[in-house]
Amino acid sequence: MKKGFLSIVLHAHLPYVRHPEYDGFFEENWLFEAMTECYIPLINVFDRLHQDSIHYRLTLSLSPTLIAMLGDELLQSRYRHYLAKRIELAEKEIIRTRKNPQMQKLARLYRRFFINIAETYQVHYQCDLLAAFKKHGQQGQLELITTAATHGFLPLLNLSETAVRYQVDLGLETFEDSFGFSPSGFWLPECGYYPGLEKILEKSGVNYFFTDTHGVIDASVAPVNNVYAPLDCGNGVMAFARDPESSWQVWHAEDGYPGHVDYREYYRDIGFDVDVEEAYLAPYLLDGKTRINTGIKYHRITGEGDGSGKALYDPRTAQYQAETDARDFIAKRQLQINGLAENMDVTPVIVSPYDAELFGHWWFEGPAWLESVLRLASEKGNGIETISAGDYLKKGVSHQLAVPAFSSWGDQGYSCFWINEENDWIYPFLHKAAGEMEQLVMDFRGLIVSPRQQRALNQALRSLLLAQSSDWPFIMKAGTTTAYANQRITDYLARFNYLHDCIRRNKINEKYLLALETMDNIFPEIDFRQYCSSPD
Amino acid sequence: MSLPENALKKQFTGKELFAISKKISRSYTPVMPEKEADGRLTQQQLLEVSHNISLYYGPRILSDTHTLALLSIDPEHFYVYWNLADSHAYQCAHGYQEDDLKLRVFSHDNEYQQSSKARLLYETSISATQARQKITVKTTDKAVVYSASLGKLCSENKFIALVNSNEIHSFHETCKPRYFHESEGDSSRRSEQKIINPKSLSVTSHFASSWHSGKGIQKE
Repeated sequence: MKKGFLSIVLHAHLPYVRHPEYDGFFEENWLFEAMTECYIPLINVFDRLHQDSIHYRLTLSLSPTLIAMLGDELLQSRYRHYLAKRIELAEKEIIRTRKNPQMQKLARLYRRFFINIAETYQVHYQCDLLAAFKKHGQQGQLELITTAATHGFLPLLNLSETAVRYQVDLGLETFEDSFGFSPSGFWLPECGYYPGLEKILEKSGVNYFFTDTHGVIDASVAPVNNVYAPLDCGNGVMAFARDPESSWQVWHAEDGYPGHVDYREYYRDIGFDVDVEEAYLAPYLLDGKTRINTGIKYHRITGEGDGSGKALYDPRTAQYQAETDARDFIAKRQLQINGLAENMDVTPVIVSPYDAELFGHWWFEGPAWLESVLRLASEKGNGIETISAGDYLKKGVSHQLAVPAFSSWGDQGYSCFWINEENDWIYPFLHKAAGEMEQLVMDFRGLIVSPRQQRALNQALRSLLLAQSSDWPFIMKAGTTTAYANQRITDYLARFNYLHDCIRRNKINEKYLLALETMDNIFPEIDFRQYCSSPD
Repeated sequence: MSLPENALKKQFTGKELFAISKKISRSYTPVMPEKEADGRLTQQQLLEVSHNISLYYGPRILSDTHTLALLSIDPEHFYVYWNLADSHAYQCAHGYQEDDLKLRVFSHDNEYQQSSKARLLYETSISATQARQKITVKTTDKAVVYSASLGKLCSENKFIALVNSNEIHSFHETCKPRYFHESEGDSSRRSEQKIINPKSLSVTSHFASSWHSGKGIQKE
């Protein structure tokens, strides 16, 4: 049997959705749902694999906005409350479903699930999930990397090289502040690459990044090893490309594993399903009125249909299916490697990057599937070894020189999901603000600034960065929570404009500045002077 | 007795005066002690600040700035936006009227010799001094970079640029648009997930978007 490597990459990211100005905020639930269904279940998987001495390597990218939110005391406190409410609701569900034993069994399962999540979070890791990821990084199973500071889509920010460079540098610094080292690899937001970006990455000390398949297939020189070996961009920075086959099996909305009829149905949540008097669900809804996901879902995908005739979920069958799909995934990688290794002069590496939030949130059984994949891959003699991209490069093999092509992993493979009729209005404003920020920094270079001026300049930079997130134009195009995305980008640009105006007029209102610092408290160590380098 | 203004002008350029001013500021700007924030603001106060700032400082493009930006969408499309000062005084100074304006896109063989190697790739008349649009261009295999100019056409058919864009790198000749073959008349949420072959696999990557976990599944 031929030998090859499997490099699974999980990219964990959420936009900055912290809202201290409200008691509770709908979009903060994105974080809490991801923690409950994805991040903590994944940590439980890593813990179990470690306890069982399973050898594996996996690359985990943590975005700086997610790092900031996981470490934020306010959000930690709100999350504890969220979990307590989920346990409380599950207990109420056990009583409500008493006449339906099958459903009641599921309600009990959810109670155990939430309690288990709370134990991992509060007891095992003292509300510090970053410590959990760090532990597994130090134990050698995870290679931790990061991405741009606020996940800006770099190909559309590169009107200003300064803006791109700072997104990269601040992302790396934020990661280093939390984990104590600078990562070797860098996740390009949305896999958005443009020729020339590798030069910025090189200056920032990045050794490798990931592109979508066509980024390497359409490179300046045709890749001799297809996407199964990295390209050297010409400056020592390596580009790994996404393997289309393994992506298809997991990502594909209809033919991918997550669409199997036995898996849990995401869209049948009791927050929408349960027809009970308002008082029953009110404590778990938005403002006590608006129906939202509660995390308790009793149905399985079942099959085609409008969602009304779904069968009840069976956790054992779903677990069995996850293991079956994991075996299928590994078997297909073995076949792939056998075919590839015959024609390659280096050991092939299959790069399989996924959004971490797919595992557990969208695909409830995703963590179980991943655990099975890693256990199966660790079995001796199967020809597969899991590896991180950084480890692969440490093998010291020289790689083909070529510059990848402009690409992203979004719809149609380029920029169109982030610039189109739904969201194009943002770019003149983003570019203008980036230019004004750069000018501010230049004008204040070498000058003595008062503490308040310094705080205002730093805060202006935070506002700019938060406006640059790729999430806002994505949501505008996706048509999901567009009002929120529009509000976020408008607010951040307004906050930047306000601070810019105050700084220029040297009239900085302490109350307003403090309010902005309180609301947008990301990147506490930011220093506006670092935004653009000195001309000399 | 003070020196006549002309005497000063002869000795220092504006740049030199600015440098002196900056040097003095650097060393001698008084640093006043400031009262540090000593209390937390209430949620109501935070909301008021946020509301007031959004009300008065919402994003707007000033009419006295001149911008032309070119962005890559895919191998067949660029995105361009521009903003020319729309004051009558500016128009008179530069001798044009709104309907004289042309937008041109150029390709260049060499990144650093724009003027000598520029080839006209696309031209269109524009009527607004502030707009944005997606343009379809036939890219050339030889091109290294693209740029755009917005200007006026003179009587001798000579093009005078009023504002030039940034440069963007070309796509490699192997890059092709990656359209979906299935009907895209569906909602954007659905069509973004329609995948024809593994090479054109696209990702619906965001938490806030929907995930179609099975056939026929409807979003809430």
